[in-house]
Amino acid sequence: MRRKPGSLVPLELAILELAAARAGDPFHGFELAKALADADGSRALTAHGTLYKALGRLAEQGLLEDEWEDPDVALGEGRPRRRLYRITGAGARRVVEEHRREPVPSPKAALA
Amino acid sequence: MNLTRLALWWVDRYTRGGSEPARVARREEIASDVWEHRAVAGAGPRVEFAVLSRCVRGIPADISWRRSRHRGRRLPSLRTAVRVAGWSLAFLAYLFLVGAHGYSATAVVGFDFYGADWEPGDVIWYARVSAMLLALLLAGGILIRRWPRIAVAMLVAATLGTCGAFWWATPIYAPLGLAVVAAAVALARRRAQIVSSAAS
Repeated sequence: MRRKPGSLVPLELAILELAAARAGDPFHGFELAKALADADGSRALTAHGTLYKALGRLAEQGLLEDEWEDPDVALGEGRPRRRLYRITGAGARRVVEEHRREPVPSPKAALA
Repeated sequence: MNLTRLALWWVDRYTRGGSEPARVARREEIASDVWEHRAVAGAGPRVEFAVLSRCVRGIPADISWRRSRHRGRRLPSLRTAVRVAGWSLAFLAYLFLVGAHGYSATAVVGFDFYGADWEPGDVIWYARVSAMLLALLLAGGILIRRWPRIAVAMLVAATLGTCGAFWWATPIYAPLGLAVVAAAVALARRRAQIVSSAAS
């Protein structure tokens, strides 16, 4: 099923919520995967493809901004450079909007 | 055991043919993720499998990402895959037949098709021509990705040579040779398209 343009899937919303909770501190992909797993109490980390596709979509929608880390910093620490993400104003507003929306009850719940 | 290499190999595969900056960014991002994963969880088979599992579980999303990046461009379809497989089979059949002729002429495999029909010196001539044609075919097949034009020329020369040397088997060699040359031309064109779309 094709999703509505501009709509967020649960993973994207979870990413935005975690990003909003960091109050503008940048984070990288693996850090986010670990935080998502910790929040869920899951041992398995989000798959690479799923995670980076979601991050890419959020960045394309202007809800996250990204920048590559200074290569000298990475070199100094002897690791590959990180792509750092940060929530934008639009992203923070979107989280608030999503929380304001009433959850639509499922037909099963309505019958219960 | 380094299963994480498989994850990076997969990134190389599914980003191929796209724009170079997107390809490099995706590769660097996954390489960084894998490095952080190993740095946090430590080395060992469990971590390697965890990385591989993240890679495998993400394949549907990777394919969807690739499709979204290539929207509007032609992607290799199942029809193309079947066509390439068919042409590859024709190529292998061609190699096999020429090779079989060469071997049978020298009686290396212990049988001789031609028996008393041979003139003195025919065996050596026949074996040399077969070896040369085989070398041309093999080199054409190997070089097709790197130097497509040279490879196509080699395959054309091999086809003409085969039909000339084994004229009595032309009904078999001519269609096979044409199929192999057509495959080589199609591959060369496809490669040129990929290179030009990646450059733009």
